[in-house]
Amino acid sequence: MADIVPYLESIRARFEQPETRAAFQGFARTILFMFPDLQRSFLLRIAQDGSATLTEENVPNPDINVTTSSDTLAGILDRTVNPELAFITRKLKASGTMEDLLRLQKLL
Amino acid sequence: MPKVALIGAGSAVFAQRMITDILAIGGLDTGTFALVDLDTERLELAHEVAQQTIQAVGKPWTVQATTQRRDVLPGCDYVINMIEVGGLANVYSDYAIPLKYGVDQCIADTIGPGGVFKYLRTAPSWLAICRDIEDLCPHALVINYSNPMSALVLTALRATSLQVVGLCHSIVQTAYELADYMDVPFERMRYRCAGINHLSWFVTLEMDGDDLYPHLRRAAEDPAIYEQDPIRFDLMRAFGYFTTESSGHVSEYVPYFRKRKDLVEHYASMQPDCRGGERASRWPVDRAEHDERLRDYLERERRGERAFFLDRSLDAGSYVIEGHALNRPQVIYGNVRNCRLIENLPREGCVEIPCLVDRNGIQPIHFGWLPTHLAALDSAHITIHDLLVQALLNEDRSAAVQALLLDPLTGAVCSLTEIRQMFDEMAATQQAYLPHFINPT
Repeated sequence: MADIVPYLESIRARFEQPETRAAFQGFARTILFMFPDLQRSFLLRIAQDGSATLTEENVPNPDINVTTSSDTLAGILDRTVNPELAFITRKLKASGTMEDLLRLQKLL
Repeated sequence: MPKVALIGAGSAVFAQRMITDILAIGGLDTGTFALVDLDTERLELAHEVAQQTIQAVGKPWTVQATTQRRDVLPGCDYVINMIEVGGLANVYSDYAIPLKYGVDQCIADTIGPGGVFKYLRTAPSWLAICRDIEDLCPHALVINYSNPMSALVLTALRATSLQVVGLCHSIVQTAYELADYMDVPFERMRYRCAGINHLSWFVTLEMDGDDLYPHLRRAAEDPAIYEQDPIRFDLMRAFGYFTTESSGHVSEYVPYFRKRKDLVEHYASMQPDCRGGERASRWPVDRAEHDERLRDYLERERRGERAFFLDRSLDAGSYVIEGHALNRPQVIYGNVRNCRLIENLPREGCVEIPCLVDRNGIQPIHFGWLPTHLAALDSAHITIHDLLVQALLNEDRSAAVQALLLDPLTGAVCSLTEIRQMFDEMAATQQAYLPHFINPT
């Protein structure tokens, strides 16, 4: 099991970069990351201006729901696990509209 | 030291996946990639990505890139086809014109009006490529990924002496989905599929010697599972077996799910991928975003960051090369000529079946008899593939029209007159991309 917080924080930190903010401007969404192996959930809230906050919480109806193991998400961010392969083999499950999921790919 | 040509390498994301997979083959430490595309800008992107990927992996492979395939085909051991002919220019009319006649396709690139016209746009180029391979590297093993898969593979099998196999990820991807729906470990699941591309069937589905179908039927009673794949579960309830292409795409292969607006809306309300025009609306945007991401990865790699994913995908292409080049036997699902492999499907059609691959090449494994009702669904499409190939090879417009007349979904929606009018309208709109014999006289 990976210490997932630094990895999630690295995703959130990308929203401090002007190009990421610009790419996500107008994309106000909630992304819930659920880690069954840790029994923890984290919510990434993207604001209308393209900024983002990260909190440890669970919400009932996020726009995008990502369920995976901490090792899988850490592997994706470390470039040792291909997210496409993780998705196909169901090691990573994501639900939401197709448009939102495609935008999510930019973060991985 | 194999030489691998990638024809249509301007599909840079896919080309990079192939290159990464081939570089991941243990023991195949050096070789040459020959990238071919007519679009110089996309070819250059693919070339840069290939060079950077090789550098990231650290194997001494070399890369050639050219718009002139005849310059690089000599000496090729493997030719991988991934061409797209006039796709962006026609993807919208492939969807929108049939919709005027009530045919609301989802993907529209393998069957139905969209599939027929994609074949008519693509097959002449594919045949020309095959002729060049026959001329310059006749012993190469040819792998096709372009759609419409079955009809393109059949074209090469009918018109050339090449060893050709068509590959698609749909069976292995579906197997993982089934394991997930049933919450069983994929590694312990056993399955056997046969049929045609995108309409193959899990004829055997077992774990530890037990039939998993009762388990799958119970899983499908859970709305949270059923709604992920409603059309495939409904097909399973009706026909007894699970099929190998996603709900949205497979809904185009049968007449039941898209012939009325309320049906399309019903299934799309559960699974958005079932909506009409899914590919026409998404693909141009997806393609631009994939390119943008690839350029971003490329830039990051050049800065010394690790951006590329270098693990091997599930795609069968590299396993074919590994089996053949290194004589490490592999079993893959391939689209090949039906030489009595599936006894109750038309002879000489293109079927999807397990194949052994070793230094002897692609060796399809005899399957036997498909359940009759499944064979009936597949046979209809094999007839359409046959007519399309006849249309191309005999320059016979009427055979192409008849292929569309026989399409199950189109026939469920339109009259004969409407189908002929639709064909004429699509032919007129796409005239610049079609062979001369299709053009209205």
